[in-house]
Amino acid sequence: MTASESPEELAARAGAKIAAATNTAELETLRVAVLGKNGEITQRLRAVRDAPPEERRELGLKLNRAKNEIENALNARRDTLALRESRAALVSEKLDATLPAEELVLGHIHPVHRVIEEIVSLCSALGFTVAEGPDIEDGFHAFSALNIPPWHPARQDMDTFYLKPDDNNGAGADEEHTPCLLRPHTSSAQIRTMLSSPPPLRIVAPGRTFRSDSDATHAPMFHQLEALVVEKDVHMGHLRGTIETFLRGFFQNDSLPIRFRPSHFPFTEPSAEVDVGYHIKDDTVHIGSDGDGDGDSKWMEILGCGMVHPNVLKNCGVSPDKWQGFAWGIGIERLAILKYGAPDLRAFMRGDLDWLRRYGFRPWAKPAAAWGE
Amino acid sequence: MRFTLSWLGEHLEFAAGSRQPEFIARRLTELGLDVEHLERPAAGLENFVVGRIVAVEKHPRADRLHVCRVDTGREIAQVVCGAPNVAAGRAGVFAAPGCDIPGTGLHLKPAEIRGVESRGMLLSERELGVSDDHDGIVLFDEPAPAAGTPYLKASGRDDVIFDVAVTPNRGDWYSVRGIARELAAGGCGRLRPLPDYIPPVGHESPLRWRRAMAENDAALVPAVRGRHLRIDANGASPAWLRRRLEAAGQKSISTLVDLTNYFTFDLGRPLHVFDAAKVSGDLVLRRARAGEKLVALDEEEYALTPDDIVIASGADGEKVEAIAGIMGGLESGVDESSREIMLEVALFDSVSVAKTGRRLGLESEARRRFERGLDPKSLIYGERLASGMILRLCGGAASEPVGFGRIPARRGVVSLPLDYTRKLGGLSVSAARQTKHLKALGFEVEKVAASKRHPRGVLRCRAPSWRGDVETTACLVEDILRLEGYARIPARQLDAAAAVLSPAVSAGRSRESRLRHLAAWRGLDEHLGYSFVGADEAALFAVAGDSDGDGDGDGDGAGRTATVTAPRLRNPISAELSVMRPSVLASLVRAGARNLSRGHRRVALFELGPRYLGARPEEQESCLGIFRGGIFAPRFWRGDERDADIYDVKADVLAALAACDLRTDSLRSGNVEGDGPEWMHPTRGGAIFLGEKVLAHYGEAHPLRWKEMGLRGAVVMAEVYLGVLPGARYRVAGRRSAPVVSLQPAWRDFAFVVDAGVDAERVLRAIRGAGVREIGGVRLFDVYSGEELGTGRVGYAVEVMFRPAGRSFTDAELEDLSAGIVSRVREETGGELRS
Repeated sequence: MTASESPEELAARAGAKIAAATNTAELETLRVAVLGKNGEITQRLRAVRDAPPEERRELGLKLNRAKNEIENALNARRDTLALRESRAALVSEKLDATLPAEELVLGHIHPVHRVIEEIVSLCSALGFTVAEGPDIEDGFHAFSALNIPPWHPARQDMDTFYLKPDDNNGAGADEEHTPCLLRPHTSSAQIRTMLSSPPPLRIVAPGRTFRSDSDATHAPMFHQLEALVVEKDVHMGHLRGTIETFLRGFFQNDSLPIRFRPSHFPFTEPSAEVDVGYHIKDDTVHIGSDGDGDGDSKWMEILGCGMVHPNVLKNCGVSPDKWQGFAWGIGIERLAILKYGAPDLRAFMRGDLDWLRRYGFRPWAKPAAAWGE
Repeated sequence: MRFTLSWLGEHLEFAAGSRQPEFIARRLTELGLDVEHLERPAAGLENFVVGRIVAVEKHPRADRLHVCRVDTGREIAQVVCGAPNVAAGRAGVFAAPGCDIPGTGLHLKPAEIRGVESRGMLLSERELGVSDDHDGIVLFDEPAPAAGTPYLKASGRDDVIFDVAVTPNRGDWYSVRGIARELAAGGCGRLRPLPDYIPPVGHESPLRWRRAMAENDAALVPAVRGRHLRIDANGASPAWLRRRLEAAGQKSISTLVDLTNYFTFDLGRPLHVFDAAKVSGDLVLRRARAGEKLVALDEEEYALTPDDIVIASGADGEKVEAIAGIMGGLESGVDESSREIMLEVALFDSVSVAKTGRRLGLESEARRRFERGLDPKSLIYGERLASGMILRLCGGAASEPVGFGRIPARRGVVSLPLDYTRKLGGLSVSAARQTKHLKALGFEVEKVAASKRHPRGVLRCRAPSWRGDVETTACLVEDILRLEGYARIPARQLDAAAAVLSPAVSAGRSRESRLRHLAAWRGLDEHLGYSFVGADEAALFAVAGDSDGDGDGDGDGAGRTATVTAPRLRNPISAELSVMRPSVLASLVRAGARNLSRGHRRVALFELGPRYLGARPEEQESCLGIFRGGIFAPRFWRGDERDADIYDVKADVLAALAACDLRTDSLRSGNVEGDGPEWMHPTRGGAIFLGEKVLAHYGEAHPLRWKEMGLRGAVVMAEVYLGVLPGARYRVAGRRSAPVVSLQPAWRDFAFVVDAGVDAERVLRAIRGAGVREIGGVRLFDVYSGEELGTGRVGYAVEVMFRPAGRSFTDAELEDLSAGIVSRVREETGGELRS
């Protein structure tokens, strides 16, 4: 520092040093040297009062200007250096973002429940609600009310499981009114619904069903869905239209070939069985007609249906003179096999993880609309 | 029901162009007779022809071979043949070079056999693939068809076999004639009339028929008609009869047996023939006596009861000879030596036959027809035609008909309002066409004029004798629709306005669906187990409280104190599937164990389904079962590997309960310590309570039980008893409005030391109880023990969050709250702040 140095020269010299500073610490040393308590500018400002009175004002102004200049330069340089230093610090903080994160372990929804959810969604759009019934039934709900009296051959054809008599809550041998058998079809839910709710009715009742049969195409337990409509003016035409909508909607195929042919069930009259068209391509069954048109379309039975038998209506306290109804029943596993290609019926209940992961559904894959939330 | 096209032609005069198997099959399906298969047994036999063996010489270099010259209709071919029965002048089946031989799969080429050229082959039945017979070549009976005649034509094997599923209501369709009649009604031709044959009477029947039954039982056997025949022979049946029975799936036995089978299939008229030399006295229809037994034609012994109707012989009718309508006895059956026979044609009550057959588990073609109902008029024409056919094929002479009873009166009239077909069937059909269809099906139809109630009039319909199934008007509609064709019914949609605008599923069902998706999000795969399990699993997973019989019921999962017995099946398919599961875990554990044993290192399964605490509907309850076995967290660079433990399934349980709208702070967990279910480790399991109700159990699998079941590894399970939860409900209105507090909460940490016997839950509840309104959260963040605490002591480090309401807490208030917590913990658990 020289006493002859003008404030401008001082500012220029300090400015050069500031510009040359390479880090914030160096800059801080500079600041203290120039602007600190004993810094050059501070001292020079303190010395202003010793200057001749006519020069004081001029000198004061010049020194303050120089001080401001230096402060501005310091701040600007500090920002620049601080940023540079932070950047350098970030580089040293590097993490390898490619290290694996914890994987999301997701489970699967069983195809049977997926198919039930799909059908419920679909049918809810047609105005159906879901009804239920117990798995352990009595003879009345499972058979007699469905127009299958005790001696009827159909009782035998269904290979029904019965409970040991002493497990029937001690109510004795009255098969009709003691829960004593595992329902061989969900049609019993139809009876329970009609007995508990007055028509008009539109219900679907999915659930477990049981038959004492076990081979490649039969499991002792499987799932069915029963649909029932009871209204004043529904007839076979509505049966046909509703089932066509249902099947085409379920298989997502507007042109699915569907065939109704006469059949017989004790609980419906007239009765029909319904076939859908399929073709085989690459050794696999495909529902729907062959797009190429080569090869015959074949028919596959998919469900049984009919107009509710007047005796069934009467058994449930519904007057057949006032009300007409139709019903259909369909196997859930079979639908899952046909739509999603799960090949082996027995695998459905085995619980093998490989199978569940191959044929199960992710939890977000939830059909919309039906659920009241 | 299986039959051939030519057999159908015996009863049906085909309309022009109708004799096409595919056309007939389509019409049958449209009429309600589902054609399961169209079989062409002749496939692969088209190229073979009748070959006349003109000359046979010994092979010069082989003893057993012959060199034959065979007239094939086009040439004389030289064939080397090894069959022992080859003979000049006879006709056999000739295969020319280039043919494939079905029985051996060989492609026939010209060959040189030991130096002699052979151009073709004479075939055995096995080579034709029609039987296993390889004793010699096929030789036609003389006069044989001309050389060159196609083999299919010469053998009558050019027939197509229909395999048709008959619906159980139509007993009349269990006959070729019934099916022909339906096709005639369906426009495929004209039904040929049955021959009107009355057998000449040659002698008086030495046997009589008698009904020894109470008056009010008479309807069980309305009528029997029989005829005594003295026959010349009971040998092999003619080829046409054998072929038809073969097509029907029946074995040919002897002419008499074949004829009874033939009438069963042809007319739907089951018959029986007794060897009259083997019975004595009258043939008596009566109820069986308790303890009576019969060895039937299937060589099985059947124990009879007074519910069964039998045919008996002997002086007092003491010897059972047949089970009415189901099967004859072995002893009185006919064989090749039978020369005197008694033909039985009867009417039996269908329900009685069905009940006996069902109890005995005895299936027969006769039973199938009797229990579905047959044409009662067949009593007369069936007997006459059968007697005639026996005389034709077996020779001999017949007695007068003998029997008792009469054909029951026909059913009454069913009325069909003409507009009902449209109302129920959805198809408009003119009165004329409705009448035409019903008449074609054999109904007698009378039109009643329109009335106020039935503006289009009514058809009064009397069903034909073979249609015992017609009971309702709906049945007539079905018949009309069948003949019109179901395909003609126009499709209609349901009235959308009639649809219900409420959620399609109940809140409870919606909750179950939500739980399934929640479980899957938590990494659990959904299993679907059988509702029945083995007795071992049922016992292991039985609802606790019944096995130890202490009746306290507090560990039973549902607050029940009554003894619970899982229902058992009377007719299980195996012991492993014989008891209704008392817990979802009972079937889940099998699947879990199976996956672990198959090498899966991380097994996480759930099932949401029913358990059965009894047989009544209300004893079936939905449960969520969870199984975690093996690794929970795999080896990973950020953390250690660890197996699934009880806190993992506890988290699953609490998540499930939260998804059921239960507030976690209203729940309490407790150690079960021997009070828990049988499957659970005695000191490593807990329960979640809502008040006094147990909502869920969770714990480690009992290691000793687990070992008993032959399983290994760390396994934790849980079960949530959905039936015990407060009922699910949809939220109808919106939430109540309340101000949202955004004041800063305050946090304080505490370290308590308690006796090791004190449950953590008690400490945490004591803390919460110290300031229900102010304490917004309590988090236990460390558990520790060590010498510095003293033995039998455990330390809990807890973070408490204070949530201000109207204004922020002052320091003094926070001091007070903290002091309150400390004193509350001391009072309730004896715990002290760690100094």
